Amino acid sequence: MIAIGFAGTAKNTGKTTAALTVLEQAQRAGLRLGLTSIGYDGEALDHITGLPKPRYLAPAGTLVTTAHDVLDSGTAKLQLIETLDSSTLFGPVVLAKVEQPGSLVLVGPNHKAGLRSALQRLEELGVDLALVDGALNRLAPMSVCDGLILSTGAAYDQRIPVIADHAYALYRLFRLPVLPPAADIQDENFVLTYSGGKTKTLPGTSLLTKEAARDLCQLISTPVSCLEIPGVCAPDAILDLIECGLSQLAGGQLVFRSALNLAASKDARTWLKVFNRALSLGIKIFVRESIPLRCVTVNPIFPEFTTRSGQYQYGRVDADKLIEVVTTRLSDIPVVNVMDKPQPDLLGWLEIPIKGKNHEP
Amino acid sequence: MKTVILAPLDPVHDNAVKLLQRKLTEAGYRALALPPGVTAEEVIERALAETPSAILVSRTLGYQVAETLSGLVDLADAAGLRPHTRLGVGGMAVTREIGAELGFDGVFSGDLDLAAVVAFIENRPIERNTAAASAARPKPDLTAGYSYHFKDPMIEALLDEITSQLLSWVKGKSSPGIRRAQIREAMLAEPTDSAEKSRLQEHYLQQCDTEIRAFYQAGNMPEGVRWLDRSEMERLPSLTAAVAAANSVRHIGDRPLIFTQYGTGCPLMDAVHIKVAEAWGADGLLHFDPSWGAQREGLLDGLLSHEHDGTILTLDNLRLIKTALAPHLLWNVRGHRGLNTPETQVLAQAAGADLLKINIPYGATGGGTDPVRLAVDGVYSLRLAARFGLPFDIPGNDELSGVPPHKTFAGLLVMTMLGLKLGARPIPKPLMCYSPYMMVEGCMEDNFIDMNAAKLRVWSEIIDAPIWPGEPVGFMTHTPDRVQSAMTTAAHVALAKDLGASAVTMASSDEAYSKGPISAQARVDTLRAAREMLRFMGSAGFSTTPAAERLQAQLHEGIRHQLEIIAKRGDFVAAIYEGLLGSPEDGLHPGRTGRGTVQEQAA
Repeated sequence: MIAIGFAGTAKNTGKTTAALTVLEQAQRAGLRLGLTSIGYDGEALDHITGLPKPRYLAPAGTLVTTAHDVLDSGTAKLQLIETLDSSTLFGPVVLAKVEQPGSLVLVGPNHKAGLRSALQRLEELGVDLALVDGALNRLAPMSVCDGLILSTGAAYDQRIPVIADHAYALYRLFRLPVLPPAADIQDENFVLTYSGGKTKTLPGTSLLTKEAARDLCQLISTPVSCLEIPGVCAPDAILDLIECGLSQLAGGQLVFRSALNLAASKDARTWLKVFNRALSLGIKIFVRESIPLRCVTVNPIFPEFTTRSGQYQYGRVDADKLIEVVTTRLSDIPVVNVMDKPQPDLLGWLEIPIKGKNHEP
Repeated sequence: MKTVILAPLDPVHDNAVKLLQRKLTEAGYRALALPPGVTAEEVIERALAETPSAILVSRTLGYQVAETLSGLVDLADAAGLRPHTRLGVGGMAVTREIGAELGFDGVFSGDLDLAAVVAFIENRPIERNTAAASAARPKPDLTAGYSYHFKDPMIEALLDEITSQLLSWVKGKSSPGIRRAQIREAMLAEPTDSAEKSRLQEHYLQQCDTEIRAFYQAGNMPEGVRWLDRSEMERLPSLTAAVAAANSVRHIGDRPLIFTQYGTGCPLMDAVHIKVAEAWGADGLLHFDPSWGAQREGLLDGLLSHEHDGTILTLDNLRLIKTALAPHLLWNVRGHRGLNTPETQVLAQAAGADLLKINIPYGATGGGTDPVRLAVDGVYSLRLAARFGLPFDIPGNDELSGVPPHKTFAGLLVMTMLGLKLGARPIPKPLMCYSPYMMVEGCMEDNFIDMNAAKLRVWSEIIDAPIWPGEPVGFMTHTPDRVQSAMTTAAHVALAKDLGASAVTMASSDEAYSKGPISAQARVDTLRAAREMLRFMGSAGFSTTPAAERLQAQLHEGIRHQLEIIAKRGDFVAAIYEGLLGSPEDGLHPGRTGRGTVQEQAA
């Protein structure tokens, strides 16, 4: 099974539209589908803007993991299979099968442990392709997926260069070189490795504030060949660490657990400053885990609040210019507007195993 | 001691955090409040150091705030906190749907509900929101704690004289209504398919009108009546699914209990209205039947709907409606005025009602039933109420016809004494209203407080009994303006509370002007408005002008004088006919339905 996460840079960037496009193409390809969400999807109107939302129309046979209380919220007839081990604001997450096609609401596991468990069950039940709809700008749960489709657009910012810069920063995060898992990897501490291979652990896992960075810096008294940080990090904290520990870190390696651990904090563009400063000091940056970014979708439409009516309405930026500028920045990855005709072949970029070839009957 | 981190995630405002810190500390938690302006990164760093059971964020939704909140959730997940730290969010405009989209485990909106917050931290269901908790919630007894001791011995003596005469007068009298009630009780004791039940049904039909007989024998439906169909019935479970209980309408104390009335004509629509009332904090519901049902000899049977006000009174309809009632809700079935008064008490008890409603003087005038007939049926109904152990309330709505309150109250007191003598538990319902009499006499031109205060306080001078202003409070102060209507209802509820009322009945904000079934949102209007008003008032109260004492004294004297006239007449039923409890000049006429149907029983 392949699990694809649909992440966004903000609300209304087109995650669900991208997911629906893949859903439609996968249905035509005869794949057995699994659907879930880390937020709340499939509602008729957006909870904040009140504008219409794309609806999930699930074909018969699709397996879904959603919250118990929304099982009857759509027109699809769902057969409850089992209750899973995570819970949401709408009750426990359940596994259900679409018996009669129709619309449905998805409120799935809201964190990565729950999502991992849900995807595992979908795989055990023979799903070929699991689609995980995202929520707002949340990325962390997607770390358990096999690939990511990133949606961005005017809902993130109406300045096209800013959209492109931000997408590029995320792209860089997902393209950080990956080191194989270390045999003696420490989850609970920072790990310092010296030139002779000797290691030392220091208390702490994450670097989220400048104060924490300076505290860690004080503990690194001699040059190190590698500093491994297993937790989450804020880019400005890492910048402070680099500046504070110039003499000890220069020429060495900074190893983070996951690209998504970096993407979770602050504006991704700040990480570009970190990468540039590290490069200037000969510090190489690695991650232990990453997730393949399969393609980027761009949405020129954004919800715009009008003070005259007191309501949201649609605004738009130049669609052609948006795709052109973002494509220029992300030169080796597909950048598409899924509303374009002919419809882009998103499924083709996901490298889905052909049905019957990868599953024993 | 469990640790909870409280974060405003707001550059300025942290009042909610401070309040929650105090409450959670009092509840035994180590509540760490972070200052305004703290970032998501700082919150997560603190959480990594403290390993809290929960992080509670307070933030009003606004521009870019959703992304800020989801950023915190994402960071918590990436930091590995979520397996042991629950994430909750509270603030204006945060809904359950938005909370789910943001990835939170809990959402808190509106006033601080500490029980809900504690349940969230402990990762357990909020017990009071479950059906089991509703079942465990004791049903309040409106009559508990009242001695029914008369404080005015003169009035007590007059009531004793009047009711003794009435009880003596009804001896040996019966009616088709009483016979149907007796047959109905016998039928209820029989298995569904017994031959005896069929025989009893035949006997029952002999006591019914032609129209009712035609329903049973030929399947002829009265005009506008139809069966509920299967598809409607299949929708019932989803319509009556358990709702999360709202906060009580009351801010402090356990009285007055809040009642609303339903009777849309359709039992399924009633079920929805009941759930709405339950969700918005009502303590009880009153079943209103159609007025034409009170004017027929005999009741229909089965699951029936019709396109008129009031829901058809059948055992099946009542039982269906009962399924929508949460176990903690009190349920009153109205049966105080028509030809089916005794049988209504039987069906109500069989369906699980908690309260009955019987008023002979009102039913025999404003209700349109012949005084002789209703006196006989009413006394029998009171005996049933006593046997069933169910309290009965006595609505004083004859005031709405223009009757001065002292005459209406004289009737309520007669019913009170009658009920007590027969072993039942009466609940008088003086009306808080702006009645025609008040308008004509100008008694309420300055304010609505003095007269209503006089009308409720006078009862405490006469008898130690529960007082339940109805029906509904604020009658004739409402207009088609929903805001005005909700406001005046709420003001009357607050006044009733201040005056020590045991319960109040509230209208929806469109009840008088809906031009059809009332709307659910209008039902919410008044419940919500009353809740806000009671919050506003708290333990504070109203003050009356000196006029209130004068009105109260006049009322007390008027009641006493009226009872003297009724006692002197020596015939309660004749007193009704002759207008001593409300005359044609007042706007009341003796009822005519069922005249000549009372028979002397063979010795």
